Amino acid sequence: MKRILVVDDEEAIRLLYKEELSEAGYQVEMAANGEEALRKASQARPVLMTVDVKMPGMDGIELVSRVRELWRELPIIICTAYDYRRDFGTWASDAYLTKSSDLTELKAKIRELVGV
Amino acid sequence: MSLSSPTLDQLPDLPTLYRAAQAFTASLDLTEVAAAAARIPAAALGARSAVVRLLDLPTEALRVEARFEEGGESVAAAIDEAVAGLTLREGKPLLLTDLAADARLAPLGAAPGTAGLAAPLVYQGRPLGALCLFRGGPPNPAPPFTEADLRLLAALASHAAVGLANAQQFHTAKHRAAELEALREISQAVVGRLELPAVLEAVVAGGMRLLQSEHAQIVLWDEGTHSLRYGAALGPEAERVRQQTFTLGRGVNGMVALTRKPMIVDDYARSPHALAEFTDVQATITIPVLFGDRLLGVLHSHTTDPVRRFTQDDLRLMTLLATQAAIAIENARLFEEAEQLAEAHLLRLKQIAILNEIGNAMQGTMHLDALLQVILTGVTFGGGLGFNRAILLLLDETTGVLRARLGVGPASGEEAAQVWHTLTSPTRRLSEVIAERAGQQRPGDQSAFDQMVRKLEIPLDQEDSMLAQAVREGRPFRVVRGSQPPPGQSECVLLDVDEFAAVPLLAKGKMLGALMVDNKYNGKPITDADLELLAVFANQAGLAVEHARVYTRLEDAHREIQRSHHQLVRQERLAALGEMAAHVVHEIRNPLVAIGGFARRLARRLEGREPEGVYAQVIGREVDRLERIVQDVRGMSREMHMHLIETDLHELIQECLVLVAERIALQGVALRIELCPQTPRLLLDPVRIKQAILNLLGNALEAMPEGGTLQLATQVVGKNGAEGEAGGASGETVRDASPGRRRREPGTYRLAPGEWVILSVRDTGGGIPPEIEEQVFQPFFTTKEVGTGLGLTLVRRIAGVHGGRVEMENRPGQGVTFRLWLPAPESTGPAGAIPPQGGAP
Repeated sequence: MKRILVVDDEEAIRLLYKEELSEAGYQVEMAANGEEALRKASQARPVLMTVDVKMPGMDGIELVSRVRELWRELPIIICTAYDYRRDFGTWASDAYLTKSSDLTELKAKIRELVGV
Repeated sequence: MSLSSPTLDQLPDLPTLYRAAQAFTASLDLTEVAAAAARIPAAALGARSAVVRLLDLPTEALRVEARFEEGGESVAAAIDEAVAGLTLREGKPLLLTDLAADARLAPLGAAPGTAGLAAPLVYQGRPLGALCLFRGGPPNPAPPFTEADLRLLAALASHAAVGLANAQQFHTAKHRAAELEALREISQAVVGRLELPAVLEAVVAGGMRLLQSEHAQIVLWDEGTHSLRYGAALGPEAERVRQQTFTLGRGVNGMVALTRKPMIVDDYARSPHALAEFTDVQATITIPVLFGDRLLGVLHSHTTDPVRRFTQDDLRLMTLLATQAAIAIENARLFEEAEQLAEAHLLRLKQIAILNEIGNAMQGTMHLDALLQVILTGVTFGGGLGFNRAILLLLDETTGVLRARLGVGPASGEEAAQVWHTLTSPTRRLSEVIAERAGQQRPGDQSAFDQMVRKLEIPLDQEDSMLAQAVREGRPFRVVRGSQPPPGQSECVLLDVDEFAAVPLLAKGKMLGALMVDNKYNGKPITDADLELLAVFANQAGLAVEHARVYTRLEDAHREIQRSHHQLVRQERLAALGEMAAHVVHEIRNPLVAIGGFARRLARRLEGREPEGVYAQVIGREVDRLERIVQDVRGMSREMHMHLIETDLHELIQECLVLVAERIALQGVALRIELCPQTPRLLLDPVRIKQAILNLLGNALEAMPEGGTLQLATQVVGKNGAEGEAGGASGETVRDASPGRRRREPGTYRLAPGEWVILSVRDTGGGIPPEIEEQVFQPFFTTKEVGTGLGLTLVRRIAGVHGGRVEMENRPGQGVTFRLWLPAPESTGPAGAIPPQGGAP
């Protein structure tokens, strides 16, 4: 079962993603901030990360750049409520999605990047 | 001492000499002195007759100055003239014992036994004439004169010569003085006048006075027409002269004008220059009037007196008069020219004043229609250019047609009379008339003439139109009915006039149109001066028209700027609002996502369970709505950060369709997708474009709640961007990407610069009422019961930041089609510069 790391400071969102993605057939790990995400990533070695941008402590921008240094090939999907794209280089992520209660698009993107 | 008898004999009779000398110098009157010079020698020498003949210098004739005859006895004039000539020629006194026996005199028929005695009259070596004495012959025989008589006569003659010379000189001096006085007076009279007729009359009067003649005339030479014409005449024949025609070379006047030499004719009837009609003329004198070497005319006098002859003296005086006359005539001419020039200047000044006044009125009028009215009022107003009617035509540059914009003028003769009565009153100024007419001017308040002419349209290439020709050639024309080849004749008929003029309206070399004028009602001919003034005016009017046009454009530009300014202010306000809203919506988005997400989960789990399942669906749907609102409001914030990536538009469309697939199915909408065979890759911000497409799809679906057909199509069009409804390769300008050409990789198509991709979204939702068509792109305008009213505003904004646009085609009662135009990248550039996104990883 492919492992996905969901990084979001909002618990409700983490929960929603975990339930939805689990249902879609993935094993879901969760982190509430950047530091935790790095730790979980090195332990769990996920195949894909979804990263929120606005987080306390290490935010999504810093996290993505650190992840890229450590695991160059790890697909990252940025999921945000806000428009942060200007803060990323084009290299930063494999997809950039606006958060929506309808996770159809997210799931489609994950499937596209890593399969089921 | 004593003197010998012969010596004594030879001495003249001293007392006689003394008395004679006293008598000869007692008077300065030539006649008196001459009479004494004849009488005293005759008495002293016992002569029966004596003659004093004086030499007339120019002719060398020996004129009888005095004749003394005792008892009526005399020799014939021919004989005494011959004797006088003889003694003058010989230069010494002559003793003629018998005239009949003298071979030189006998042929003259002198009576036998007539004795003669003659002596030349010489003063200081200058011969003055001769003194001749005669006696004897039948019926009073007498002895011949002696040598002593001869000596006495010689002495008497030398004394007489002194007296005669004195008297002659005095006479000449007196005559000269009189002449000079007369000349002075005449000169004053002649030169003191400035009007030519007065000058000529003074010259003629002077001529009569100098010649003491009963007639004088002056004929003028016209250099321009090379002909002679009457100048002035005085005397009983003045009227006849006035009606006479003069021809160069004919008659004495004509000859003198031709030869420029004075001429005196003593016997007119026999002169080769005599004219048959002047039967009573005896003698003539004719002098050319020359100014420098330029002929001004001929001064002439004649006499009907059978004995009067014109002398060299007369000639001399008349020549002096002619010189004076020449100066005076020339002055008069200069004066006349100056007067004409002054008059022309005055007229020009008046014209300039008119132009100035119209010009002022034109400058004060910036609106084209009002300006045209001012122009034509200026052309037709009595205090302006004063034409009866005028038409102003403007050139439509795109079609090349002259179109009448305004006509000013009465429609009928009665109206003309009425109008002019009010217009020509001297107290009315042009400015007042213009102001009054401007006040009357209302739409539809057109005169009958105006209404008639406004239908006038003349293609610039119309051969028989003088208006078109005036515009084509850029110069004024005047057309007289029937007098010229075709151009303009049909217009004469059209306007029902015998004459009209057309001038082009130009501004800085640019052709604007034409002015046409006529004098239909008063029939006043259009002069060169009128045409010239009209042309000058047209130049001025052309500039004013051009200025008015520029002004109108400026006004439009100003209005546009104001409009954009208002829009900008409004957009700024919206953006500020969006900014604030963005902060709010960001904060509510995460909770919304969670609420919505779990509601969906609930709905799925509770599917089929009433009513809980429905509740969950309602929550999910409402959250959807809130999320859309949030999305729209986000888009309105001031900054729209663009993230351009080379994107496959078709892939983006597919992603959108995934998101609305459920709704399409729910609403029972039939989906038709017609994508062009190429796969257009564009530089896009995929998130933004997706948002725009979703908004369009959302609108279409909202318009068809009960089902319908949603058509989605793409097409590639060329630079001119012909609109095509359907996608695919249909339509002429749709470029077909041939295989292998421009294809970089299978399935993608790179557009050429200047090409466009049109994405159209068409619904069958009944369209929108035409009256609100304009408003659909306005922010916060909505026909929906739910919605922010920002959807289409956002679509337009997104299209705009991509360099494209959005169009709406409304088919009321049927549906609406939105077309999103997206441009090809400016240059294809290095393809690797921007990593592709959305394609296969």
